[in-house]
Amino acid sequence: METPVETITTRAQRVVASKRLTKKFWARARVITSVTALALIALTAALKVELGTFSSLALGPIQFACPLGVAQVIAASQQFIPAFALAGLIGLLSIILLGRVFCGWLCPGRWMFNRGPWQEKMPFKHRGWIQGALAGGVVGLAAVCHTPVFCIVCPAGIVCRGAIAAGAGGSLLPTLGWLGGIISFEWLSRRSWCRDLCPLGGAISLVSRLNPFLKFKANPEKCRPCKACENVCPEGMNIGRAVDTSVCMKCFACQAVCPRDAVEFQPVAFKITTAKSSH
Amino acid sequence: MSAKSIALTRRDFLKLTGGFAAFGFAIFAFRPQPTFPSILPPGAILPADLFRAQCQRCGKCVAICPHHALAQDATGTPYIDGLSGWCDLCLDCVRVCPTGALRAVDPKQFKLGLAEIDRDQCLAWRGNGCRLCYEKCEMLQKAIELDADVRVYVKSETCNGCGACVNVCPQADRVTKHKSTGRAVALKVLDNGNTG
Repeated sequence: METPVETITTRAQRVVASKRLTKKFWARARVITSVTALALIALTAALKVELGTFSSLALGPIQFACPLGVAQVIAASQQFIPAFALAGLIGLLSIILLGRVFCGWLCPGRWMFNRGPWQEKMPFKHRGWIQGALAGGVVGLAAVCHTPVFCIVCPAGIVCRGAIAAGAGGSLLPTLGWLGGIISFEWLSRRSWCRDLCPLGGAISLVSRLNPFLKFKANPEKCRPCKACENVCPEGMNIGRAVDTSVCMKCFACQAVCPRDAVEFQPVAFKITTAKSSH
Repeated sequence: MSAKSIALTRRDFLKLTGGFAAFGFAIFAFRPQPTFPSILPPGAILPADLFRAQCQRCGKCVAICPHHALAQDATGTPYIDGLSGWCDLCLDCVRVCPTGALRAVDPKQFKLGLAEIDRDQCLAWRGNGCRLCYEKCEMLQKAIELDADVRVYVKSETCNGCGACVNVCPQADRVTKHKSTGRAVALKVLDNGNTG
């Protein structure tokens, strides 16, 4: 925003300037990845190539499906569909391998309307239960209504439908209407959708506590309690205090913002850490 | 007499403009719209409520449809209305459906729905001599026939509800009572649902 002519002389100023650039780089990289994925969906819809959406994706012979969608469809129709269940299992496996990469890098909700930490946070202690209740409640609702209800209002699904409509020549009005509804819901509840309200994010986060890869950890020698990471983290996590890797979206915001380079990225870390265990 | 000047800051101006734009968009988005008879894609041989339960709303069928015959309604359920394209029962949508909501059918036997002509609106019935739907259908199902006065009739036993007649119908301006698409011919859901 404000870029007065500032002469960078001291080392601290240089660090601040380069931090600002890295933060911007990662934010842009996330948005570009997500937009590219959506553009690809629209392109395949225009060229009539089979690819699929975030709900169910076909990469050659391998079918991926959103595990929450599979659970809802099976609960709603009360029929076990083996091929679809296998696709859901493959989706589940990829979540275990990648964690919440979908939330941070692919889901359009992250950049479209989730504007960082909102005022009223869910308590960290009960987050697992709340997320479990959200995901389970959605599956229960599907069973009661005999319709996969959350699939209809899921932000990722809605935006994918919009991408298909854009590619195949349909109407974008339903997408805009649903998005407006979700955004106003987020504003009225004063909570971050991605952090506190999204059942899909909750389900992914419940599974991704088994994820052994791509973790962030604070180096206790360099870390000082400055709260810079907590302020920038979309989940409101303080890397130096209690690291709950199950909610981490691998967005690199904490590493980019840390003024002391204390946040370390561990591609492989088999120790399972949750909110309760702090180092 | 001096006009009282109003100090309008840029922020206020933007708020005002944005508010009006949002209001206008809301009116546009929620304008009264026709309800389409929801003709489900080919292969939806399940009962309609079970189809709605089993469909994941992933949109793969809409994305693959080579004739732009399919679209998603506000809840993401795919439907055919014949406006943007018509179904030639290539069954690509059945091939890509991951949930089994669409199932393999015999394209020669399958009936999506039934075309129904609004005689008040149809140009042929008003003596205009239009026979676009007849000419289109002669190339496909041969389900529309003409009488001596060049008026069109739908043969219900031959019509498979592909929607080509809706697609070519030049009447597109008015929304009449049972013709929610605005065309003089519309697809009607079969009483016993899709059969194949």
